[in-house]
Amino acid sequence: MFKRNEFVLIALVLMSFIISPGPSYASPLLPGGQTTVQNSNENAFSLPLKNAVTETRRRFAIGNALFNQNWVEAPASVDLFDGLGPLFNAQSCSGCHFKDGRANPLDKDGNLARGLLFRIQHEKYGDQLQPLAILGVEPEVQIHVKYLKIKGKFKDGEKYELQNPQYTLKKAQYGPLPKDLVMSPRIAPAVIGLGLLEAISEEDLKKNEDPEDKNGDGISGRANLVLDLVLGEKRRGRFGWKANQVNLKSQDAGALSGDMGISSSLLPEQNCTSSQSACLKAVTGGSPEISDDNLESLNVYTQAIAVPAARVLPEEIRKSGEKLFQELQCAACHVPTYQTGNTHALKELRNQLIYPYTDLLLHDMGEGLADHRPDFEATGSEWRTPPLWGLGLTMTVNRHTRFLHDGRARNVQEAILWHGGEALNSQKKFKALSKDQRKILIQFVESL
Amino acid sequence: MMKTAVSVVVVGFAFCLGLQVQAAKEAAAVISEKTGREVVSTYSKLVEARYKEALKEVESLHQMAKDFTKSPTEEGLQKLKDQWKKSRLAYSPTEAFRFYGGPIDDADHGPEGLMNAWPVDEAYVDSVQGKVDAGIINNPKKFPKISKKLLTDLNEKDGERNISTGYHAIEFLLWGQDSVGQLGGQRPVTDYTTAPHADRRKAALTALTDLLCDHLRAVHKEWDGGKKNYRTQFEKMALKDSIQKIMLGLSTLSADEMAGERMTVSLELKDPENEQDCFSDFTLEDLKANQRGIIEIYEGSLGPGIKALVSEKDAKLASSLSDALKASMIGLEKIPAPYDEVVTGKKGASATQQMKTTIALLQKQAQLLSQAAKIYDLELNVQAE
Repeated sequence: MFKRNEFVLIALVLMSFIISPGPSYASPLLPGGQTTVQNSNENAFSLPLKNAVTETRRRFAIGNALFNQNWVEAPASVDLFDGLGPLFNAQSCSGCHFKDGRANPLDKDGNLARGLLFRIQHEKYGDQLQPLAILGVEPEVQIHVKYLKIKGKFKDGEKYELQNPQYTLKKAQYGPLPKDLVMSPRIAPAVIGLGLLEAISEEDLKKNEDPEDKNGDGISGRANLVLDLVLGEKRRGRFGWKANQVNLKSQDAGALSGDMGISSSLLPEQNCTSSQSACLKAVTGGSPEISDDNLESLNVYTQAIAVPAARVLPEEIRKSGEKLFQELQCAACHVPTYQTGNTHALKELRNQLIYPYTDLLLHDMGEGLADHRPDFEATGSEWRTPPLWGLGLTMTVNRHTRFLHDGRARNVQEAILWHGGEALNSQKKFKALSKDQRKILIQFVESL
Repeated sequence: MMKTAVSVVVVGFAFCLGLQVQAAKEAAAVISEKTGREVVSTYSKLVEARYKEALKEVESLHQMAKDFTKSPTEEGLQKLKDQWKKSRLAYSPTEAFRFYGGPIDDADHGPEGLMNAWPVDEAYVDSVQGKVDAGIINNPKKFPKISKKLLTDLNEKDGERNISTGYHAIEFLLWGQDSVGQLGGQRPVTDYTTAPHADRRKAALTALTDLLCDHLRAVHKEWDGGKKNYRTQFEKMALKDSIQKIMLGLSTLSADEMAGERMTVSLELKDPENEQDCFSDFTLEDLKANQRGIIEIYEGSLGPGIKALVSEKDAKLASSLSDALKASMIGLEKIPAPYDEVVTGKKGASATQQMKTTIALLQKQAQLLSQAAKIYDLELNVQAE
């Protein structure tokens, strides 16, 4: 017969087993902490932080309108939003980040869509190709894509097929472009939870760095040190496919200038090279074309778009998925969780327990994904670990499941199979899993 | 012997578990099955009735559009505009049924984006001041045949302002561009007779009104009683889920749509283009109809509303919420028309202040809704305090 305190002990043991929050890489239902919103419809990426205060909501509403606004060429009767181009990739932010989500590289007819841009380095074309222009200015170039099939096999014998994009340039208007032009394609990612990523402390980011791979796990993790427009000094980059932007205001100003041709106080020049005379001579929409107040609203908007609640999986699937995620070392780069710092300008973002599944660091991803174009300290084969939260809602919001930096992967499985370089081991382990295990891991990733 | 031991462990365990959970948060109340089911059933009835009415009005709109395009007259255009307003008054209360992935905006088929997206980039659809060749209507080379399919495919293509379908595209086709100081746009009837591409404009008008009927018919079907549809599912769902959905619709419409996208944006940017019904200057009436929609769900017009559930646990909060909803309504009523002159500041400081006050009232009502949801441990998208 047990003594009473033994019962209590057993009860406590049982209880701690059931109630304890589990290991730190757990997939909690509120990935954005108190900022998380309950929304799994097509507007799942479009709501403000749940705890947004009145002033943040005010800025958010304005920023949202600016994000969706179609800019028009100057001069126009409504002069608030004139100044598009002269050269541009899209007329609005939402033209690529549709419903604040991720772009599909292809349109309905199978042509390259606006949401995929190309970074280059060329005297006459600048650092980005702009396939569109206002009237009277020649667009730089037309870009076409063809996908080459790559066949492969899982360890269990099941076959798979990947597609490798090949780009060709036509109608180059500002002089011939070299056949071997180095091009870095980059797709417009979902813009949820960015403020929370901005709110992670530098120290916490530093903790995951291991440039010399001292811990010998085959995974390094390097910071991209980037000169920031706002601060005027070098900091750890966090945003963009190569972590080449330190904060969201710089990211916003960069996208306004590079993608839409909208000048701001941070980037006051028109985005034309000295060889583009019609571009240089075109009427501007004022200087700058976006006011500081509107730039700030856009900044707050991009900081305050909430992460939606995670999808609920049956407990045994979640647990097995999480275990596989760890065993395959996915979590070595897709670092599950952080406590945000306490200094962010938006107090709603401070001290939140978040689950973004990224280290925001650069990793060598192998030759298959390499673009060969360095970006600050990032090499031509390094990419920043993208966050995984909200990824499972891509179909819901954007009606596609195209992943990776150029949208070549047609689903999560293909994205995993493209992992090379430091992630080659993880990819190999994935290929060795049983079909059921692969399915469970993907379900787990899509639930985050 | 063993049995006793086990049961003691279980009791002990359950006891500790109870304590632990209670320590973590105050125990949430459980929604009373009887009241909850009544509230859900009242809500379903209301949704069905409201969509039925909205459908009836757009069916009339479509019929009138067909008649009008056969022989366009000033009088016919005016009749169409009046009917458009009637159809908005019928539709706007239904906006409280959005935001939870129901038939109107579920991820797979929800037609909301095709029905009610705004603001319209006018030049995407038709000619604008200074650009007579603009838009789908004036581009027969690129878009040879105006059809429901074409306009559906083009809606929101390459950007959220590229609106080619729904109430607001129709509104633009009826009124034309609005300049501040006029009561709505002044599209001449000649746009439907002698103007270039009048036939394409007529085709767009009939196609778009027809499409709106299709969408409302589909949504109504999902809520129609006695069928196997979304309503069946909704009425069977766990109460904490269905009640959460209902309340999510109310709070999101209040804080994010009305106070945020509709009012804050146009006021702060002083931009009449960011007014929801910018061509017809009907925005204020739409906002009031939205608020009526919220109130009837909360108070319960066909049976017990959400209020009944709040009252069971916190009578004081239930009546504060009623007061808050009324206050927002009064706030909206006090904003002088036309709305575009209020947002551009032409109506003076007191009108601007009235806008700001009303925005705050709408945010407050969302916070109170969130507080009410908390009673039952339901998560909405606005912080309770």
